Amino acid sequence: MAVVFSLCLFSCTPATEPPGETSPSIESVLSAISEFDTVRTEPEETETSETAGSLYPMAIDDSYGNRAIIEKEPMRIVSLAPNITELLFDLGAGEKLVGRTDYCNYPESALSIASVGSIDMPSVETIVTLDPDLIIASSIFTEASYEALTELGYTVVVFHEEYDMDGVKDVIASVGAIMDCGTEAQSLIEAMDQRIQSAIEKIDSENRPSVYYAVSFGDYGDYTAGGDTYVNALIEMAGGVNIASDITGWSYSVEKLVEKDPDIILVNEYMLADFMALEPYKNLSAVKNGQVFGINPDLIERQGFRNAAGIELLVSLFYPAE
Amino acid sequence: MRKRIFPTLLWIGIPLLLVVVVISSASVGAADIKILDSLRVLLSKMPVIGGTVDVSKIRPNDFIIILRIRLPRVLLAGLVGSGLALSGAVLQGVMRNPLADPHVLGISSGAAFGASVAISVGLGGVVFGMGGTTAFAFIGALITISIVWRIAFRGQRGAVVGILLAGISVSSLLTAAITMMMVMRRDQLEKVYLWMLGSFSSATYPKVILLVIFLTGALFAILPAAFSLDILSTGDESAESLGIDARRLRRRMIVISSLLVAACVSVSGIIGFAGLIVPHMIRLLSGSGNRRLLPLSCFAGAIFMIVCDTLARTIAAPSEIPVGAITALIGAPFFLFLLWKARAKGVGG
Repeated sequence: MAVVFSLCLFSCTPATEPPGETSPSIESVLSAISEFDTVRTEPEETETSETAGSLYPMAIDDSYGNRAIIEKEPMRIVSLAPNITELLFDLGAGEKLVGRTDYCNYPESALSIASVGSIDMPSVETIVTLDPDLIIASSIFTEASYEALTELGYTVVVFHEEYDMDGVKDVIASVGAIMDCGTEAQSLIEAMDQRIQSAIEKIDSENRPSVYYAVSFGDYGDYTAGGDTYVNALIEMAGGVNIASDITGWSYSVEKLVEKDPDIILVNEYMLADFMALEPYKNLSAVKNGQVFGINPDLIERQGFRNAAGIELLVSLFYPAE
Repeated sequence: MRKRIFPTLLWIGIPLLLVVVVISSASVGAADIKILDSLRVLLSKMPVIGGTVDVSKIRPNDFIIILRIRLPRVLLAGLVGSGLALSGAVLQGVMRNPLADPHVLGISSGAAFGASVAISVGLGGVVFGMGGTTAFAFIGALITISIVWRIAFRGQRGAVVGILLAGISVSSLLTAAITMMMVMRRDQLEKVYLWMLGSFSSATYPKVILLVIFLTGALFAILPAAFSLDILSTGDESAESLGIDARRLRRRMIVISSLLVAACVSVSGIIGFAGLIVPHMIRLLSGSGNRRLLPLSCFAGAIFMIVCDTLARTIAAPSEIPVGAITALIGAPFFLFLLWKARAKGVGG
C-alpha cells in the first residue's frame, strides 16, 4: 500500500510558467474587493451588478473560505468535478470548457474535451498545457492539488456544499455568478424546483414505501446511503423511507437488509441481474415482487441539475401511476 | 520436560468448544433476533429433534438470516480458519521454519491479483453460486502455484530456501502488478483493497461446499503422512536415512497446502495471522507431534476464525470491521501471553 501512495504523491513540475498569467497588483485587488461584495448565494445580487456595469474583476469566497479573484470573464475553464462539468454545460458555458476529469461523462459532448486525469490527483502538467484561466473543483479534491495549482498562479475555486438540495442550488448560483450566467443559473434553479414540486405532488404520505439503495453488495461488501448522505436526502424527498437512515456513513450489513426487508430496492442498472441472482439477496421480498429497479446512479449520487430527473424517477418508482 | 496438558482433555475439549462456538456465533449478529429464537431455528433443522422444536412465532426472514446468512458465514469462517491453520502447521513443519505461514508461497498474492483483475474489469456474473471475483481469484492462485512450483522444484532443487525465495519473488511481482492496476483504475481502488483485507460477508453454501471439498481432500492427503512429517523435521539427511524421500514428501505437502490456501483465499481474501499463530498455540499446549498438532490446529483454527469473524461483524454493527484486523488484534496478544507463560516455566521458545 505504501507503494501506491508514494506513486500518487509524485509531484509534477511544469517546464514553464503558465503564459499570459500576470499577478494582479495589490492596489487593483484591494479596489476590486472594496467595489464588489462577495458574490455567492443570492442570484438577485448578480442581476443588480450586471446592470451596474462589468461584473469583473470579481471576488468570490469558495466553500473552503478561500477568496479567489476572477479578473475577467473566464474563457478557458478546467473542471475538476463531474457535477461541475454538467453544470457548465447546463449553463450554456460548455464551449469554454478546455479540461475535465476522467469521470466527467455527461453530457456526451464532454467526452470530446481533453481529460486531466482523476479528481483527487489531476495531472498538473496537463492542466498547465491547457492554459486555463479558471479551475473549478468540488468534492474529493485534495489540499495538495489545491496548493500545487494555486502556487503556480492559477485561480482555483472549490464548491462543495452538497449535502442537501439547498447546497446544490447554492453551487449552481455561485458558478452561474462566476460565469456571468446569472439568469441561466436562476432559470435552472427554478426549473429544478418546478420539476421537483410537480413530482412530489404524487407522494402519498400515508403510504410511504421502505427503500434500500444498494451502492454495492455481495463480494464487494454491503454499502448503502446512510442517514447523513445526500442520497438519503433525495430518497426521503421523493417520499421513500430509507431503511438505512439510522446509520451514518455507507457501511451496512446484509443481515439488517434481510431483517428490514424493504418494499423497494434500487441498484446500479449494470448490477441488477447479479443482485437478483445472488444469495441471500434473491430471498428478499422486493426481489420476489419485482420491486428491484436498476437506475443510473449518477442521477442521484452526482449533485446537480439532473437530480430533478432523479427525483422524478424515484417518485415514479415509489408511486407508480395506476 | 515439555509441559503437556492431558491429551484427552484437548481431544474432547477443543472439538466441543468448536460446536459451542458455531452455535453461539450463528445466534448473534447485526439483525435483532433473540438468541433463544436463533437456537430454535438452528435446532429445528437438525435431523432427529428438529420436529419437536416450536418455530411458529419466528418471522420467515429470521430463518433466512440465520440459515442463509449467518450459518454459511460461520461455517465458511470455520473451514477457512481450519484450512489456514492446517497449511500453516504443515508449512512450518516442512520448511522447518516457525515463521512460515500460508501466505509465504505467493499463492495469496496470485489470488489477490486474480481478484483485482476481476474487480478492475468490472466482472460480474455468478458462477456456481459464486461471484466472478472468487473464480478469478482461484484461477490466479492456481497459475501462481504452477509458476512457483516450476521455479522452486526445477531439477534437483527442492530445498527450502529455494521455495521460499520463489514464493517471495513471485509475491512481490504480483503485488506490484496489483498496485499498478489499483492506480490505473482509481475508482475501483477501494473495492480491491477491501477484498484483499479479507471478509466473510459474502459467504454462501457453494463456497462452503468448495471449502469442504478442499479441506477434506487435504486432510486425507496430509494426516496419514503426519508421522513422516515428524521424521522430516529432524533434517533431510536423517529422514532419508530412515527411508523417507524428503524432497518428494516436501513437494507433495507444499502442493496440497497450496491448493488448500488457494481455496481459502479465493473465497475470503487475505486473512493473516491465523495460519501463523494457531499452530504455535497448539504446540505450546500439546507439543510438536504432528499427529496431534495437525488435527488440533484444524479445530483451533476454526474456533479462532469464527470468534474473530463474529467480533468483526458485531462490534460495530451494522458496520463491519475487516476480519484480518481482528485476527491480528486478538491473536498477537494471546500468543504473546502463551509464550510468556511457557518461558516463565522454563520451557524453550
